[in-house]
Amino acid sequence: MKAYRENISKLLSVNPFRVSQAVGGVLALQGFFRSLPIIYGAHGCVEAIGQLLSQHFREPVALENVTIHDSNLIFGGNDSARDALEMAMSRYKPDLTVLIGTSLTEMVGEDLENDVKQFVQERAGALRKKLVMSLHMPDYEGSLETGYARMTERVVEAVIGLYGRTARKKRRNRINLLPGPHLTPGDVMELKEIISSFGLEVITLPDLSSSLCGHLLIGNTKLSRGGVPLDYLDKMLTSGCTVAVGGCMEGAARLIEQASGIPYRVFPSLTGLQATDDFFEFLIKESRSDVEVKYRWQRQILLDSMLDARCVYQGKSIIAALEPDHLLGLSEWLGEMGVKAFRAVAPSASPVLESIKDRAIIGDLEDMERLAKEGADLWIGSSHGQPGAQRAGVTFEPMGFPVFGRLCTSLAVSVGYRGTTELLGRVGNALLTTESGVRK
Amino acid sequence: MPKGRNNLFVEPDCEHNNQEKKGCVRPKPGGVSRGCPFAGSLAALMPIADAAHLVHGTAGCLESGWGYPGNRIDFGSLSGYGFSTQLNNRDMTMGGERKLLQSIGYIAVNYRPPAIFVYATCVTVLLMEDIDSICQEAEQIWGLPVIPVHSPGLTGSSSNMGRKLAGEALMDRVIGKGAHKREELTDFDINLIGEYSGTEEGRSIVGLLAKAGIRVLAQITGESRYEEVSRSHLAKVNMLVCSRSMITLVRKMKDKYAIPYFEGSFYGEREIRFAMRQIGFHFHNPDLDKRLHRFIRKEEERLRPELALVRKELKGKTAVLYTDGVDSWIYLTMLQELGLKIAAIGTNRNAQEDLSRIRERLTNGTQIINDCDDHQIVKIFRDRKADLMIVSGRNEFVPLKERIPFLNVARDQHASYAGYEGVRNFAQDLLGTLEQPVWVISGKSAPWEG
Repeated sequence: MKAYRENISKLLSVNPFRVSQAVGGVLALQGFFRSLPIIYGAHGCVEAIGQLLSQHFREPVALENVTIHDSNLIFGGNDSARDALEMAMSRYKPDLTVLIGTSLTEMVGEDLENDVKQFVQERAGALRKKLVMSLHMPDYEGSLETGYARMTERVVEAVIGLYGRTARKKRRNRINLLPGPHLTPGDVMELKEIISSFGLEVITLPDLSSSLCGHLLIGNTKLSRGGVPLDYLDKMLTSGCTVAVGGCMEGAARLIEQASGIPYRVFPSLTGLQATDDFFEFLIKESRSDVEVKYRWQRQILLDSMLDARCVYQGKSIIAALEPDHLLGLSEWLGEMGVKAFRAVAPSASPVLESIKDRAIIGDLEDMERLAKEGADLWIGSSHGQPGAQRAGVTFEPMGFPVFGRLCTSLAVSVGYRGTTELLGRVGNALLTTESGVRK
Repeated sequence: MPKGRNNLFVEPDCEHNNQEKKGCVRPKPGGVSRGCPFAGSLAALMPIADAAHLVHGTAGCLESGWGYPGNRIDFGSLSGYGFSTQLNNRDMTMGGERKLLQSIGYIAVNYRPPAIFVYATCVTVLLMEDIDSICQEAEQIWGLPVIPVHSPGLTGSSSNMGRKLAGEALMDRVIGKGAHKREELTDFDINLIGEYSGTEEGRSIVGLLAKAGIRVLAQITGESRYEEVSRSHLAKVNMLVCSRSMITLVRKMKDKYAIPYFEGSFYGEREIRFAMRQIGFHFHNPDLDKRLHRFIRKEEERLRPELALVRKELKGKTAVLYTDGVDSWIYLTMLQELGLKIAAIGTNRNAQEDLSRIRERLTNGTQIINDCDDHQIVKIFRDRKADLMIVSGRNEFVPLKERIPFLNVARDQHASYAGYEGVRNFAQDLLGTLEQPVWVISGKSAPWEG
């Protein structure tokens, strides 16, 4: 793991694109119905997280804050935490509340867990079948991906605690789906559709496809706008199997396995022909039923587009700055498309980085700019990279988090046969732009 | 409030100064979020685009103010750059002072900025890092100004305090350090000092003043170069533009450099007229007075026929504002000039100064709701049968999810609303918003809903 230290090249970060853990945590909670993250940190932290998520998804996000006074830091802040919890409970009545600690509370040594425990004990009756818990998500370690995964694990743990470890009878025709944070709400929707086309019932957690997809079903609310309801998660423990998409979701899948013996399978990514073939093969076995005609057609169309696109991708070198799981998926798919080189920068360490073809370094956008100047046909990454790509004169394709100033980013699909075709078109067109620019 | 001591809660030119025991508002839990002092400082100083801005803190700190397309300035070699020491868990125990010094060195050697601003954050305060002496050491080694900004997020609950502290840093370390050659100065040099609201705004104000023969020497907390700010003490007049947080800076510049200041805004004809007359008043120059007068008359006459049609369309329409900070008062004059009635203003984080500015711009019949929540504003909108909601920031999702016609003054604008051109843009945007077919379509039921 020596090569995967943080920022090998230098001590500071120049134009960092690492998104803090708490953003991932808050994002994951949006995928649980009637949930409310409460952040215990400086107002700026809360505002920044809300801004990032709202601007990317063009949706309101459920997010509250605990008051921070300077005196809290000396005398402790259990009262503040209690006030915030009290207010949230009485005003919004969330089903799932998570008090999120930041670097600040970590350093001061606030005992959030104890605060929450006391709060829950005092109102045991009123909080029946509701979850209130705490989680430390300091931004001096990890990134969006780890935050999202840790929050999912925490909720799974709590659900297991709520409904008990069971050896209840399993239902073979039900699947738990754990989508990673690199999947858009559109991706999750596509996966749910594919799985249910095999006659399988699917429980998705967190389910961003019904909350951050953008809908007007409920008016303005302070809680999450959709997602999987808490009482439905009870059934999670009697499903036939668990599918995790993205290496970071393995932890949550393992927790479910340990609690009720449900086997799991991790798909690193579902982008690309091979990855999708594997997924369909798995679903055929699991459901013992046939593939719908629609998907047979979609595979044909993907194959044909790959043939059409072969010259566009051939010999190209592409650079990307994304979260580790996203990078791995992209690198596998681009390998399938036959690009010459794929070089990647990740914001934080992850075991999956070793599997990326050429190599991935841990760094910032200054490193990306250096890669770009060494020669690249396309820069893929979050909107933070756009000015750097412009300076280096490389075509830019927004992907990952956050993406600003684009419409329908949260509905873009890049999984399954249809999604891969769509991605192939998007990236291919960007490459064509580069080509026509050169020829001019 | 401590008496007889010179601290930031004591501001002789500020209207809340005479009140006992009332500094900034105490923070409350809930969804109300107004940034932190650190974010305020960063927002105020980031527009000094050729300087490097190094955040000494954890990864999340820089997120609060960097990387949004709206505040990316194409100006100076380091515009759009963000530097962070990104403290990790090892630094949490070992301290980050050495890292900070080396980071400053890295920037100084590789990017050669005219100055480096170093921002303290919550974590570095708790680590008790001696940022001042490191900055001093770095200055000696690399021979460029390294300016510490002390406004960690935990010290307050609003970005206003941070802007004030940024002003302090500028006053102490930047303003007055640069020199102009005599021939570079004109007779009518002014500074614009205020809250930064987009590059476009600044440009259109500078353009407007240039037409009237007034030169802007420096825009403080607006698009500027380090050098310009360092010479800003050579201006003849300071204009405080739509801001209450920078009053300490202009007051201190008045005390130290005898530069008079006045407060004004460029949103709406009446406000522009007022600002121009103030400028004229401070220069005591009959020629300039005449020129300003002619300029105002010419522009207003040009505007009148152009807006006649829009005024007719907008007449009698009612608006409700759900905005925070300066956004809740700077557009009021313009809205009323265009013929809109303002039924109510809901605000969440406005201090007394904002409220008094709201009041002085309103005629009767407007409800002002302090500590307004989302349901309240929607209810008032429906009760008063208003036509349009004007929002800022993330308040936009309230009308959006309720399918209420709205204009987000902080995000939807494609062009500046400042100056005479801004009046045109604002009028077009208001009209365009009301005419959007989507407000009707979104109310239609689906075929299966009967």
